[in-house]
Amino acid sequence: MTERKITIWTWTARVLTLLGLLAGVLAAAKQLPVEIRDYAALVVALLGVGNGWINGFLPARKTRAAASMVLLAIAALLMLSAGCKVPPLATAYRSHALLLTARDGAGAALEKTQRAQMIKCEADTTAPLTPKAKSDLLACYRKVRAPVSAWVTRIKPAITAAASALWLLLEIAYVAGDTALSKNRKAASVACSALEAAEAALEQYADKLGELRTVVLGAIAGGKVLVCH
Amino acid sequence: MSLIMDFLQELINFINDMADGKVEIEDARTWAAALQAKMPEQVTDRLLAELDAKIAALEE
Repeated sequence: MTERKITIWTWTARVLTLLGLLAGVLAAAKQLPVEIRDYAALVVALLGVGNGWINGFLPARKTRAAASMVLLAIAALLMLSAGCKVPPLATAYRSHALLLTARDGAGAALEKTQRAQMIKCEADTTAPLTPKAKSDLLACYRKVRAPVSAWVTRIKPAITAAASALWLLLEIAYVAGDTALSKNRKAASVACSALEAAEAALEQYADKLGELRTVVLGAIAGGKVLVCH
Repeated sequence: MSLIMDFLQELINFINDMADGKVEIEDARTWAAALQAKMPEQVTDRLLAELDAKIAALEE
């Protein structure tokens, strides 16, 4: 490692110590939640002790640089884990987004599969169609149509309604500053019922959807965990 | 000096927002809002319409 890089790493550790100290002062002064305060204190202690050790006791400059890198990595991991204390409202918004993503992804996958089946129905026929060929083609089309019809007329609207009910709950909570989603039980109950209805629609047509339904069921389950108590 | 003060103020605001979880909520809300505003997929509706048309043509 070059001298320049060693200097950069050592100074980075010092700057991080100062930021950690600042976070510690803020934590004490601003009465932050316990978890954040503990993390800030831990980072400050780690960086303070670590930086002192690096600059005061390690003889070789290369070893100091390596120790600085290890400290930086640990500090980054600590701050990341502090950031993982995600409020329920944020998780709920992500859950809502996942539900819509799962809905559209499953719809697109179903369309692709069924369109391929429709083309296969047509590939097995030649014009002009005999009465038997016509009857077989009709039967083939109806078989392809069944899951698509179930999706368009029952399942997709149920998921969309559930997502809209969930959205309403989340926006009410957002406006009210209710980051723990603990206050508006009525809206939560409506969202829960809508999610359960979507789940029931998926279960009802399970045989028509195959594995696609597990993707959407997972997204619905994620929403239910947050709003159904 | 004022640049340093501005930077420190931004840093303090960011740390406060992180502690309140506001940064996470805003990011998540922005993503969710974009999807909520979008139309649901229409490809299955179009396929259903195509199949209905083909079935109707065969039944004539």
